[in-house]
Amino acid sequence: MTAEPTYNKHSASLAAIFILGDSVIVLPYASSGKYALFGFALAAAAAFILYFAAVPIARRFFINPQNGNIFCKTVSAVLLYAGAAYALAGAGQTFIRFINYVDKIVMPNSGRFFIALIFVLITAALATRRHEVILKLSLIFLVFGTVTVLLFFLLSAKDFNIENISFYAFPSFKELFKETLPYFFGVSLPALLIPVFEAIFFGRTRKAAGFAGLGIGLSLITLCLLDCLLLFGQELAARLSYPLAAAVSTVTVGPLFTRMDGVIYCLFFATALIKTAVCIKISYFSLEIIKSLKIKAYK
Amino acid sequence: MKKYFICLAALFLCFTLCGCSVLGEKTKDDRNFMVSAIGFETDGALISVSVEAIIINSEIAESEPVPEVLTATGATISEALDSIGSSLAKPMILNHCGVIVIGERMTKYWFDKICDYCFYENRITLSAYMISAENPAELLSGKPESSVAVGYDIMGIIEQQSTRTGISYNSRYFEVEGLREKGKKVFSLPHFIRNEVGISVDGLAVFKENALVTQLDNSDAGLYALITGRFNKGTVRFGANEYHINSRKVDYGYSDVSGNKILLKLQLSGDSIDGDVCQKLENELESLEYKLKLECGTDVFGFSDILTDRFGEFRENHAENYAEFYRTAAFCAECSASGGAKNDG
Repeated sequence: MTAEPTYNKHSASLAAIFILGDSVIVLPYASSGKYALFGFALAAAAAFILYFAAVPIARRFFINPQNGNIFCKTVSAVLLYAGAAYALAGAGQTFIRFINYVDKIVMPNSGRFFIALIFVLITAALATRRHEVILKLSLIFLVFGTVTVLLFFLLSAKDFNIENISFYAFPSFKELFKETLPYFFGVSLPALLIPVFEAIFFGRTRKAAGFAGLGIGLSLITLCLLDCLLLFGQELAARLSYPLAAAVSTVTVGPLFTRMDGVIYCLFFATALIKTAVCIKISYFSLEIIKSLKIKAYK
Repeated sequence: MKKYFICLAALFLCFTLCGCSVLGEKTKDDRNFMVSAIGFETDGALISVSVEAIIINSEIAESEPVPEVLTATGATISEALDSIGSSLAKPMILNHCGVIVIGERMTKYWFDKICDYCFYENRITLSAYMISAENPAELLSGKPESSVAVGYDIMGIIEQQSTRTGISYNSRYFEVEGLREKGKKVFSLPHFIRNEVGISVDGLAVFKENALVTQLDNSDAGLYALITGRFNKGTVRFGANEYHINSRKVDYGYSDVSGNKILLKLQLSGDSIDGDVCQKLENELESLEYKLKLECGTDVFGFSDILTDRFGEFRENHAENYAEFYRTAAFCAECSASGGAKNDG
């Protein structure tokens, strides 16, 4: 008798890809200033705190909520509604960002409707599959994403200017708050949905896998952010619509590989696809659970 | 049934990957115009745009790519480029533009416009080198020496020169634009000339607040790079001698206690770098600073940017009236050889 697969590695991969999501397309944010790295560091710490805070809540209110008393059921319903709404908003934001990116950079002469339709069809196809399909794809995409990010970071290193992230005074509390806020909403808050996905589709939370995935995802985002800041400086990076894509466009490897932007297109597609599909699944199944509070969302 | 439907849909999508080619004479003359360099010059009112386009005939294997310089003038950059494009059978491919040439008569207004245009024009890569030349169209004309276009020759020359002289030109578009975005007033571009033997770098063109303020020859360019911290590892020439510098550390300071002073502290290591050489170098650096101060009447080294960033007190006390501070400030260079005795000259 073969043992059931545990999908621990896959869960970690999903968490990492989910955190990369649409953040990797637009970081650093347009509102970033001189202390973007400080703001991101605080937001990354907040992501871990939110994740560990969300794990027991997901365990208590998202797994078998129909077995609780009326108070628990009410809280479950409220949290499920909030989770569904937030997941749907996340899916929408990721979708819009990716479509805008493709429309502006990859296929500027093609109609936006055509691009959006293809992405919607692929996402819908993925969202309607079993969650194991998303998990397996996440593992593949994470390997590809990690190699891509590391490769471009190393290839860009010769052009890094350490002065671009130098600071001679620490930021005030107000400056720090202003820097942290966009990263908190863009990077930290999505960490809340990781235990929700695990609870709904596995019937249990995987703290270690989620923590590992969150760590990997945040490390990759840190590398992407550093790549942009060290190359362009904080002001120019904030002005660019798609800083990482712009950073990659400066990388050349001898006379043969002069524009390697295509690789980053694939990374953005993978992260946007996974995040959108996962958010749609969370949203849909949260509402299904609320509707009946009897449907088992996992097998 | 579902599988057949999916197969049919996949097959249909496959066909969209192939363009519908019309066979016949039309495909035998499938020329593309790949832009390797783009130059800008102005008379103040209008902008003159020159593109070095490599004409590639993808259908005729024997035909060599041919570079051609096309120039047009317009009230805007887009108008000038459209004017060039209207004389071509196919759109220009800007994605491989490697060099942006700025003419010597460029005004602040047009420099801003050029940088904005290059920023918003997604096809022009951010890593294109920006250079200065007296006449961009003339520089880009002529036979390329070692590659298919003069623009790509220029890229190779900049990289070679940077390795040999140790000067970090930092003149790629994203580097220049990064400085401008940070509010830095001073930046420099390599200056190119065309003579009988071909094209070469003949020094640095120094810009302040987007306008050309002075031009330095190759010898002064090396000293300028040492002062501004843009020197890595290479050969610097002063007096009748050349010295190879392996590494350098640079630090800045200022004093406003008894008279204004700007301090440069250099720590160098290299072949034959000793106390005497450091003494000579100090004199050369101070002479250069004095010469440029007299010539330009303003800070062309970017000390204002450096000191304002590093010293809060300087920012509070002198940022507002920096011009007056610099006018009365003495420049003192302190150079020491790494591992050797400090030179107190």
